[in-house]
Amino acid sequence: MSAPAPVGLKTIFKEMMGTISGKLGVAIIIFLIILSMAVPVYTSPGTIKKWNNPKAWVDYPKCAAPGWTDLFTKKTYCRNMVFNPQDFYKYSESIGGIYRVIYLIGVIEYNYDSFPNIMDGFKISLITNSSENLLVNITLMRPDDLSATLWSDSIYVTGQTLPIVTELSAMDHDIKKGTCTFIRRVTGENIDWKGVIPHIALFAKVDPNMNDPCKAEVLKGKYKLLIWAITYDPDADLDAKFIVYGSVYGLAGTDARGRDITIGILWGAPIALAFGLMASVILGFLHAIFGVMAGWFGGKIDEVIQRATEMLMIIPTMPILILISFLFRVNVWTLIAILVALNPLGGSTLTIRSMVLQIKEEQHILAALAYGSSNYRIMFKHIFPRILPYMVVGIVMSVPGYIFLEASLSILGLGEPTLPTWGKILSDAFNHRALYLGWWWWILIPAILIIITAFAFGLLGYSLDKIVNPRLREI
Amino acid sequence: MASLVRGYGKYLAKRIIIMATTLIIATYLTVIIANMGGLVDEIVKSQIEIEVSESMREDPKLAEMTKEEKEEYKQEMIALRLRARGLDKPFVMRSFYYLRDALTLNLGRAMFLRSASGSNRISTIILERLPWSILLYTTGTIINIIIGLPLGLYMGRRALSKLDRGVSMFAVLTASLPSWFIGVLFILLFYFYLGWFPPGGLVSTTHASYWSLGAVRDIAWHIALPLMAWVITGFGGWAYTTRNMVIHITHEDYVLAARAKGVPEGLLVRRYILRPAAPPIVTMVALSLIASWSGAIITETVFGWPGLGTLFWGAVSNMDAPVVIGLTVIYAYLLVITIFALNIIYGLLDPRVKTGAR
Amino acid sequence: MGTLLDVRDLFLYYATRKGPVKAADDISFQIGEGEAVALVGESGCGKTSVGISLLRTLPRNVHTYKGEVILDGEDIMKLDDEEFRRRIRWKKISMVFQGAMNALNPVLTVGFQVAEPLVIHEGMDKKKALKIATEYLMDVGLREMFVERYPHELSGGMKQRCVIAMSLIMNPKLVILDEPTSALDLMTQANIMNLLKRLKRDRKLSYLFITHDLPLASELADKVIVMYAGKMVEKGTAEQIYLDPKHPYTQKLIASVPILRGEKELEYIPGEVPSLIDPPQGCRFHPRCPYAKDICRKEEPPSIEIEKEHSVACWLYAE
Repeated sequence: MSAPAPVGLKTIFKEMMGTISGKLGVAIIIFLIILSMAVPVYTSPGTIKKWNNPKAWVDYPKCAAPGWTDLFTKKTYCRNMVFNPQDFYKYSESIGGIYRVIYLIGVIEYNYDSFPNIMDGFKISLITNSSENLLVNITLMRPDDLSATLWSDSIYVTGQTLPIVTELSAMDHDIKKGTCTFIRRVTGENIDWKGVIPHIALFAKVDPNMNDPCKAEVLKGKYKLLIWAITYDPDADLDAKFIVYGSVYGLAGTDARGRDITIGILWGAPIALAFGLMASVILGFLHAIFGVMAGWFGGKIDEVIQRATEMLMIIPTMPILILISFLFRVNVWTLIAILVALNPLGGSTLTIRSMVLQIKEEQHILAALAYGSSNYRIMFKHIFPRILPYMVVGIVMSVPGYIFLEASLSILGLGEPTLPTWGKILSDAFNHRALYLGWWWWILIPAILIIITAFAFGLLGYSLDKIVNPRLREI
Repeated sequence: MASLVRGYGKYLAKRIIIMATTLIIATYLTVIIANMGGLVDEIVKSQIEIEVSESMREDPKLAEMTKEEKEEYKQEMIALRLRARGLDKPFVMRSFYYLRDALTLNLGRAMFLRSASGSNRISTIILERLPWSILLYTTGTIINIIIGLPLGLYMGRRALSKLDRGVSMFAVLTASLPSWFIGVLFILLFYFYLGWFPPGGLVSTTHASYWSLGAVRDIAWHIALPLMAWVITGFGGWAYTTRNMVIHITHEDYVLAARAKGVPEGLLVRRYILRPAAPPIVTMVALSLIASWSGAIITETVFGWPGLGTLFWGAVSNMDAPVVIGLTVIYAYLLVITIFALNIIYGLLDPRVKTGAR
Repeated sequence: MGTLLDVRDLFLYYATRKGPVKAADDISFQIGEGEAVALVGESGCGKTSVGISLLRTLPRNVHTYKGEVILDGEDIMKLDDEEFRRRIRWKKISMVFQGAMNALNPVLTVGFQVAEPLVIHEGMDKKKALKIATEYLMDVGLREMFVERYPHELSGGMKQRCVIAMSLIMNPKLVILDEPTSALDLMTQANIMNLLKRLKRDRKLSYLFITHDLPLASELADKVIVMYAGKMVEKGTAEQIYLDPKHPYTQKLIASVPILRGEKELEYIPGEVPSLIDPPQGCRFHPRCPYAKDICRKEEPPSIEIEKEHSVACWLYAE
């Protein structure tokens, strides 16, 4: 192996930018960096904590596909529609100072070709501060002028802390029963309430098949949700919130807990890059330093470093990492520390050592020794700059490896417990059997991002390899 | 000739020492890590307790004792065994007992997992799964070599041609992609969308024996996807490494000299390019195998392939610590054996080794 | 002594991204039987290219390769590659390479490598070939035990001897020696030169001795050819060149050789070796020549015969 050509980092960078692969690689990395920087812009600071808090995602649909999916299909998919209390028209009147009547009307324009999210459907939340029980009736008025009473019942307030929130999801038994009554009335079909899917039937054209998700047709138009309540507390107030869960959401869809995957991806970008780069750089430098020491000092030190390197390379890192992660929860930063402890020497230690052996014989090194340079000075001022280009190639090419290492641990469920790394998203997907249920976005989108990152570094490494590798230069 | 054998022998002896030391260090490291927090102690103690209880149940003489007497007897037996195992001594000494146990593959019993035959002896459980792992990896590696080596050779001889550039880029990219990753994508594509292959497992129906035609076909159908994932991410690295070696060597003076001597092309490639290239290629293979053993764990898990990887996954999910520890030790063993085998091959290929030169 | 090799108008250009490299530009010379001809010049002047042109071990990026090379009455330039390989290469012309350290395959024994041409070209049985190889190796001064050794077990000088034996195994008539001693220490160098002299005498070999080391060449050469920037500038017998150099470049070369004893001012040639892609117009030496005239800048000088066997390519001698 011939000694590495004396080429400076700037020249290398310039040459690399001259190649197609170099430009492409750098472009992708810049894109990723921009993505990382978009994080604080797109999300609020508390997002990380929000990620693991299920309560934060109640208003989001579950397992929704990305919003752009219906660009490729003929039918439009239902978007997530949230109607907050201020979106309702409210009429509230106190009758004779004894009781209060409250009317709430929410208007929903439903113009999609398909039904709301098959898993969650819709959700009606009622918020009241009444001190007396309320009698509430919820009716849905459809564009075809048919109305269905969804719920007619009381909200019990005694002994509860205010404000009282009652949540009715589409799959609630009462809602199902109400819908069942409606279906029986308009179609004459005698169906069992347990099999009723309210968010299909209520939004479907009247038809014997209106409860069948595959056969029912969507009834488009203006829907009105009418809620009236009456209570003996003359000062009571009632607000409603209505969510029609979309079957698509956002850029990357949502996962089984309703979490917006886009946020997960965005957060994953800086973590992936930071982890990959940190691990690569730290370990790369460590390996190189030992390699230089082995090559320069020779003798016993060389022997020891060489044997140690061989031994460390054979120790199975992955199983031990798994063991450690299994016994003690590790986060990303501890992971780096452990990697450093397990692998202070690596393959590049040996290659750098042989490079140093060659460089050592060169004239200017002997000259430097002759005029009294100390060992360390020679190592760092003369030898290190020569191997630096080769090190840079090694570091760049090992970044994807570390990103995958973290992803591997996450998939086994052992990785970073709180931060939403890409590996974690994938592992969640895997655990929820997204693979077999066809929730492709949950897997493909983080996967594609990981691949792109690996691709970028691979491209860089490829073009750098051509430039720095002395033999390949000669062609 | 005799000195060559002696030189080779010395080389092997040195390698054995290094391998053995590595194995001991790796195992000891595992033992120490595993026992942080006294975990291994707990495991051994509870295992002794189980053993004692079992043996007591089988002993007819004890049937007549009262409950208190039985309890006393039990504690005595346990204390006896603890002392025999050296568990009443400080940790440092105990760690050597564990080390000895681990090295002799006396791995104890699993807490939750069982082998197909119902045994909870870890060695049985592992031995059951080992052949399947070996089947997958060996087949995959062989295919990688069959495709990668000649391809790399072809690329190296036509460096910078379109084929070379294309495959090199492909190789560099797939080299960093782990096989499980592509595996996940394959499942999505070939199982979910195309329905051509099963998403995992070993067989879809039970068979009388693994050697029957139906079983072989079933296994082959199931091994297809993991094998494809393994090969797609693997052969590129082989090809690229070989290609680089070939380029490197083709520029060496002795190739030019051989051509001048009149050596015909075919012989030139075999004797003057491939043979000198073989030792460094073997080294790089060793390195890549080390790397791929680890990624293999996840690949197996993703495909539910009943090998060591899935066992790891199962042990981790079920918090079955003894199995996790035992598996780590086995992996260390496997790795050491593989590398040693490669060392043997390397020694045969590179005459500098046989003559003891540096 | 008859003429063994007659080279006429030999051209070898390489194709590079920046243009053709004119490494050998219109070279003509003759080598007689049992004659040693030295081809001298600076590094990069194209002398190695002449060597590989004769042996036809060309790299892939050849731009132009033409001329006449008449060996034993046959123009070998006209042979196709396969026939050249079978009949000429190594059998009639062989080569001793620069840097023998690298000319030997590290994974084969030296005996095998010396014997190999016999097995390939003559189809000889391996054992018999090895026996013959052993004889040759002993003839170049190596003990029999080295036959089974690998190259890394030999010293530089020993390896060079192996390479020499390797080049002789098929009993060629012409051996091209490309800087055969440049990587060796002086003592070994002297030994190798003596070996070469003896072999030439014993086997009536012709040599084309390529070197940059003028005094070294004088030890072996009967005739000398001086090259500069791909062109032949002077050729003549050793005496003519060393005692009566005509071309300014040759004169400078001779003058720059230090003398062990005695007073002598060290001379050097100012300037740099020109690029072979874009050589200077006219006489390629004119930018560095102290006697450059107008015509030197415009036209290439023809080869002018001054006396028998002695010709120069210089306008100074055009009358």
